[in-house]
Amino acid sequence: MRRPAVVWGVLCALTAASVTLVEGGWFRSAAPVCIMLLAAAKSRLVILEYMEARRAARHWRFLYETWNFTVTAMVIIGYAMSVAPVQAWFR
Amino acid sequence: MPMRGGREGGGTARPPGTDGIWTFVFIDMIIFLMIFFMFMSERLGHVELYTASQRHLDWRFGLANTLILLTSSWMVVEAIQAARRGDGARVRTCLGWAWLLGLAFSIDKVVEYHSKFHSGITPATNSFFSFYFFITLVHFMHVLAGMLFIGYCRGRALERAGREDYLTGLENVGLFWHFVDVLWVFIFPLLYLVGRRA
Repeated sequence: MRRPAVVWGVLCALTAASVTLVEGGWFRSAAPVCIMLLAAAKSRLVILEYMEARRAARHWRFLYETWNFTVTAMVIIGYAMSVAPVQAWFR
Repeated sequence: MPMRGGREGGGTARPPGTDGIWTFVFIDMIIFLMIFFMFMSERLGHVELYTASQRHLDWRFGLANTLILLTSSWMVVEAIQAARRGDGARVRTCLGWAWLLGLAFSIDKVVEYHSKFHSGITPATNSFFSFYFFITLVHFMHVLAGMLFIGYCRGRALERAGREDYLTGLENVGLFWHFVDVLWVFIFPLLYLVGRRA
C-alpha cells in the first residue's frame, strides 16, 4: 500500500480514537489531555508526511514542530488549570 | 512528459514549495496560535459556561469535517506525486476529488451554521459562541481560498503537469491546503471535544 494512503488510514484511526475517548466516557478528566496528544500526533503526521517538512529547510521543520508543540501544551495547560483539583492547588 | 530536475518516479531534488509559502503559512499559524490562546484564557474565566455551551455543538459535524479534510489532503498529496511524474490526467482527477471534498466541507459547515441559527444560537449568544463562529468562519474562508487555488491548478493540469513552474505552484497550494487541515485537526478537539464530558 502506498505511504500517503497508510498515513491517511492512521490519521482517520487517531480521529476515531479521539471521539471514542470522549463519547465512551473513558478516562474522564484525563480524556482532554489524551485527545490533545492525539491531535498533536495527527498534526505532526500531516506536517512531516503531507507537507513534506522533512525535506524542507531545517528551520521550517523546527518552527512548524515548535508551533505544534506550543499549541498542544497551551491547550493542555489551559485545560488542566480549569480542573478543580488544580485550581484548589493554586489557591 | 519527462520531468526536469531529477523528479522522475516521485523523487525530488529540492524542498517542496517556495520559502514565501512556508513563511506565509507560518505567520497564519502564529495568528491562529494567538486566537487559540485567547480562547483558552477566556475559557479559564468561564469554565462552566464554556462546557455547557460546548454541549450544544454536534461533534458529528466536526468529525465529518475532519475526515473530509484528511481525505482531501491525501488527494492533494496524490496530485503532487502525479505532477512529479508528469501525469496530468491523474493530477486532474485527484484535484477534482480534493475540490469536491472541499465542497462537502463547505456544505457541512453551512448546514451546521443553519442548525445553530435555527436553534437561536448566534455569535452574540455568549463568548464561547463568539469564538466558535469566529474561529470556524476564519477557517472556512481559508477552505474557500484553498478551493479556488485547487480549482485553478486543476484547470491547468493537463497542459502544464510536468513543468517546473506548475509543480512549484501546486506544491504551494498543497502546503496551504495541508495547513488548513492542520488547523482543523486542532479546532475540532478544541471546540467540540475538550472538556465535553469532564
